[in-house]
Formats: sequence, structure tokens, C-alpha cells
Amino acid sequence: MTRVERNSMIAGIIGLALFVIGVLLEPRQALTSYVFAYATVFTIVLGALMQLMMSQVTGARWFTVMRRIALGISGAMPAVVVLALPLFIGVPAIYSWASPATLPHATQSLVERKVAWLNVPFFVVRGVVYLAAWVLIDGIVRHWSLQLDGLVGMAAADATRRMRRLSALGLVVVGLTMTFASFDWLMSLDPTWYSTVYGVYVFAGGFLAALGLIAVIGRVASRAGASLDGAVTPEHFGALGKLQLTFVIFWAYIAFSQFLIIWIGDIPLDSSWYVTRGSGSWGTLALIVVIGQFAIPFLVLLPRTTKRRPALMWLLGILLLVMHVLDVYWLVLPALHPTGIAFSWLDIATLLVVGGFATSFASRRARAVRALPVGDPYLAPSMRYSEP
Amino acid sequence: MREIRLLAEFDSATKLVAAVERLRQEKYHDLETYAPFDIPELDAALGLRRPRLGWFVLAVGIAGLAAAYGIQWWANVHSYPLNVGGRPVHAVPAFIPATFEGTVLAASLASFFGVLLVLRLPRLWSIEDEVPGFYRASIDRFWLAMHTFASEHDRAHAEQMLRESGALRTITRMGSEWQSVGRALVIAIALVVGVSACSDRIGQGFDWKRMRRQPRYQPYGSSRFFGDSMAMRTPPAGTVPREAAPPTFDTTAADATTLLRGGDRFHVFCAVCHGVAGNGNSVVGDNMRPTPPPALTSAPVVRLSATQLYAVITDGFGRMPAYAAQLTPADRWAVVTYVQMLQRGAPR
Repeated sequence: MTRVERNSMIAGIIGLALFVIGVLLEPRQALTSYVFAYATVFTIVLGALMQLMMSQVTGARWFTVMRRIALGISGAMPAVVVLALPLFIGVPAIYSWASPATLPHATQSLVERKVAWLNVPFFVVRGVVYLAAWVLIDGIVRHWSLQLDGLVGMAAADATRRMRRLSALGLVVVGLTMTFASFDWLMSLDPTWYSTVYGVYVFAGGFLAALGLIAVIGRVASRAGASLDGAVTPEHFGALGKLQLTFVIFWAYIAFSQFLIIWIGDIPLDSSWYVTRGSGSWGTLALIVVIGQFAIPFLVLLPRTTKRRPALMWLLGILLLVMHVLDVYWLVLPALHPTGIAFSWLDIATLLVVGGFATSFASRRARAVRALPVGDPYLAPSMRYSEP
Repeated sequence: MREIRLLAEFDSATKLVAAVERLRQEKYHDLETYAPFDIPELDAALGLRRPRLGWFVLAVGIAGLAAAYGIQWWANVHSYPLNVGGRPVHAVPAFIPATFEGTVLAASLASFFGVLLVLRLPRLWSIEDEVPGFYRASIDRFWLAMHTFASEHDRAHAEQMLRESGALRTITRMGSEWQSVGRALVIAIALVVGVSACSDRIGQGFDWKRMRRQPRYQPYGSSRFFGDSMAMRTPPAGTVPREAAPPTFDTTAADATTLLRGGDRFHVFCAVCHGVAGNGNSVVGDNMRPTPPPALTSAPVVRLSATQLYAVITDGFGRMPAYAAQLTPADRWAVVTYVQMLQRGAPR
């Protein structure tokens, strides 16, 4: 058992104990915090899976040396599936649409019209479908990726081509299921509000955090004597930085599109979501996220030289991860505390549960995997990669 | 500035890189290389740094941002404030899309024109263009160019070193790029002045209508001047046209000049439909289906006499229009001669 594996396992167990106490003391707070923690983690894991498939579809050679890092992150998928359990068990406590009778009269009639979609059995069935799709796709990607280690020549080329085709299909499936999962698990926290771009927003944040995590692990793994020493160079960090810059802008673009349309429409039902999240301490948090997830990374990633410094990319990766946590916090918790941030010890405890167990499981799985995809025909060009 | 250019041709990239390294050791820094493909070692050998265009692009991008935001602010807040459904006049979120576009537009234009500026493009002419064989720099040869030498001795020394580095040949050229740039500038200014002299306000600034309304007769118009009220006059009896058609022409006795003239006219007027070889193969002919122009080498056409061919050209036949207006009688006979030559090998 490695140090990471053990420590994160301990963190998970401590978190779980606290979470159980929390559920007994204040179930609504504990379970809503759990939604926040769960959404933070599952978006990162899915982001890594998407980057895996995206690099296959686009034929990104620079990423081949870093692919096993993404594979390591997406290896947490089975843990993510198991960790979804409290979400399904806690539906009545988390989601107000599960008990429309308790809602104010005005919203009640609106929510009752959505009952065909928003009802507990269908919610659980959909959730099982999403999780099954993810674990299946992750399983196939992982299986084929590991199988490639033992192949050479034409067999390796064929396997790569097959993986590319699967990835194209997988991206569509994950894209759709992730959109619907974020509608179900996050957007329905405010059952009267809706935004069609919401799923893309959640994806963009998670994908960006996954790229940040890849940079963090990449930096740690490429230090002298580590598993990727000599394979991952500043050239690769430069390319990763470009991708991060793209998605920093993409995230800001999506976030702003959603905001602008609602702001300019100025319809109470739509804008109430932003009024809650834009006033008081929630507004301050929103500003922090905009600065930390857009302004700072944008300016840092703009020059060529900064992207090529592994240490700086490590720091930026940490920033992106922290901002992703705050971003999801800002999405989820106002549903419970509309008047302002009400920090709870359960926010940390739930993050320990989901983050700890997922990390522990992923690193345990990564132990059995080679640090580089040795059978990949593009590995040699990837190691030689130099930024244009 | 009149410059001396020393050019050297190499047959391998390795030799070129070695020559560049050697020259730079000897403090020759004004080097330019031409190669058919990218040579990564060459950048290091030439001591090329990364371009600093980024700063320029950033500055222009920020200027674009400020300009786009400024225009919107000026229009919506200062010049023409409108209350749109109670939204603030200074509506920051609504200004952002255009501000973003303005930034991107300015930055991309800056990088596009910045590259042209840094590379001094477009280059209409350079001394290298006049060196025979220089074009092989884009096929299989590697060229090195140097200019601005301190002295003739300096130049000779460089030439010596190029020879030692394995240059196939060295060439010294004199000239000035500024001459050609100056020439292009003069022409451009003249064009601008010339074009700007034309007014586009037809009928307003200049009286074009007066030119259109000249006193003249329209075809088939009536005339009050002549007794028979006809505007078009019949030529007096016995008038001979300046180009009278020779009634007959011995095509078999035609000289080479006639044949060449016939071929020339044939290619201009006939080949578009009947094909260059007269066999009816042409794009226009294909599009005239179901009644395509016949092959001039086909039996029915071959059987026609020279006079009949002449008549067809003069008056037209079927879908073929008359060519009397385009071809003088002598030219028509020349074309007939050429057509008969094409028909020589055809079965009768």
C-alpha cells in the first residue's frame, strides 16, 4: 500500500465517520454537502475520461506520454459508482421536488408539471443508466489501453484505430449522460429553474479541473527519479497549458453565455437563480471563482514561457482544482442556504469521503499499470514531441 | 541602399549548417538561408530567437478591447442613452460580447500584419530571383545569402570560407531592393491618383446625360431630312464593297501564310464548338446536345465543296450563326483552307 493510497483511505474513513454522524444530526445539510462533494469528484473523473477519448479521436501525440495519468484518474470510476449510493438513498432529503407538498404554493404547481421526469423511481433508473454507461466505457478504454502494452506492429496499429473509433462513440455517450446527470443531480436542486447550457457548464469546469490534476500529477511524476522522469518534458507541459488555456476560455464563455442570456431576458423565474448566487457572500464567491478560474489562469497561460514551467503548471493545477471545488460549491449549496454562505464542517467531511475513497481506489488501481503506454505506436513521437 | 550580395549554393543541409556555424564563428551575423524544408538545427546555428511578436499582438489586442468597449460606452452612455426595459445605460454584460470580438479582431489582425511586417512581406523582387538555378532552393538545393560587407577583403574572405565549407558555387550580385520598392510605390501612388480622378457620382458631378442624348438616328428610325423619310440610306447603284468576296478561291493552291491565318482564325472562332482538331470534341459542343456541332472530319462535311463551306461560314447553318461579321472574305477562305487541311486524313 503506497503512502497516497493509505493516507487517502484514512481520510475517507474519517470523513465517512463524520458523515454518518452528520446524517444523524442534520440530514439535509449532510446530504446536500454530499451532493457538492460528489459532483466535484465525478466531474473530474469524467473529465479525465473525456480527455483520454478526446486525445484518441484527435490523434494528439503530445498527450501519449501523459495518457496513463488520465487513465489513472479515470480509474476511480468504479469507486465513483459506489459513492453515488447516498445520492439515491437521500433523494427525499436533498431534492425538494421529491415532496412537492412542502413547497410554496406558487412553485408547487410548476414542479407538479415536471413530475413525469422528476420522480424518485425514474430518477434512480436514470442514475443507474448514467453510471452504467460510464463504468462500461471506462472499463473498455482501460482494457484496450492495457491490452495495447503487449502488442507490436500492425496489431498495435489496429488496436489504436479501434480505440479511436470507440472513443468517438464514447465521447457522444459520455457527453449526453453527463449533461443529463448534471440536470438531474445538480440543476434539479432548484426545481423551477432551468438552463440548457448547464450540462456544458458542469462539463467545462470538471474538464478544466481534470487538466489541472493531470498537470499536478505530471509535475510530481516527472521529477528526477519518478516514474515519468525524462518522458514528460516542458514541451508536454506547454501543450497541456495550451489545452488548459482553451478550456479556461471555454468555461468563461459558457458561464458568461448562460449569465448574459438570463440577465438580458430579466425574467424573474430565470434570474432568481442568479439573484441568489450573485448577492451577499455568494456574490463574493462568484467573483472569486471568475477571477480564480478565468482571469488568473488566462493571464498566466497566455505567454509561452509560463506554460513550459512544470512548477508553475503544478501551482496553477492546484488553483484550478480549488476553484473547481468552489465553483461546484457555488452551484450546489445556495439551494440550501439562499441567504449566504453557511459553511458547515460537513462540507469538508463529505469532500474527504468522496475524494479520499476515489483517490485511494484510483491509486491502488494505478499501481498495476505501467507509467507509459509502451505498446502505443505514437509513444516514440510523443516523447520526441517539441512545441511548434 | 545599394547592396552587395554573396550567394552560395550547397547540395546538403549538413554542409549548409556547417557553413553557417563557421561564418558565425568569424563574426558574420547577417546571414540568410534558403532550404526546401525545415531544418531544426539551422535555427540554433543562426542563433534565431523566438519572435517577440506576442507583445505587439497583446498591445494591439488590449487597444482593440479598449476601443470596442469605448465605442459602446460612448454610444450608449454618452451620445445616445436609451432606457431598455429598465436596464442600466452602462450595461456591462451586454457590452462584453462586442468587447471580446473587438479584442480578438484587433489581436488577429495584429498577428497577421505583424508577421508580414517582420518578414518584410510581400517581397516583389529580390536579388536572388535573378540568380539562375536559385529556384532549386525549393527543390533540392540549399542556399546561403550574405550582404553588407565592411570591405572587399571582408567579402573575399567570406567567399573563401564558403568554398571551403563545400559550396558548389558562389555568386556575387549587386542591386537594391529599395529601387524596386520605390518603383512599386510610384506606380501604386499613380494608380491611386488616377483612380481617384474618376468620379463615381455619375449624372451628378459630371453631365453624362448630355453625351447619351446626342442628335443621332436610331436603326430603322425615320428621317425628316430625306424625302423617303428613311434614316438608313441605300448605297448608290454600282457601289462595290471595300472587301469584296472573291467568288472562287483555289484552296489547293493556297500558300503557308493563308493556311496559318486560317488556323489562327479557326482556333479563335471555330474550335470552341467544333474542337481544336475539328472532330467535334469540345465542352461547348457537349452542351449543345441533342444537336451537337458536327465533326468537320465526318463524311457529310468532307463531301462539301470549298464554296459550300464558305457559304456556311458566311451565312451560318442550322444552329451555327453567320460569321460574316467576324471574318473578312479573305479570312473565310483561309479558314476553309485550314478546314480542308484538317479533312485530309478523313474517310470520304
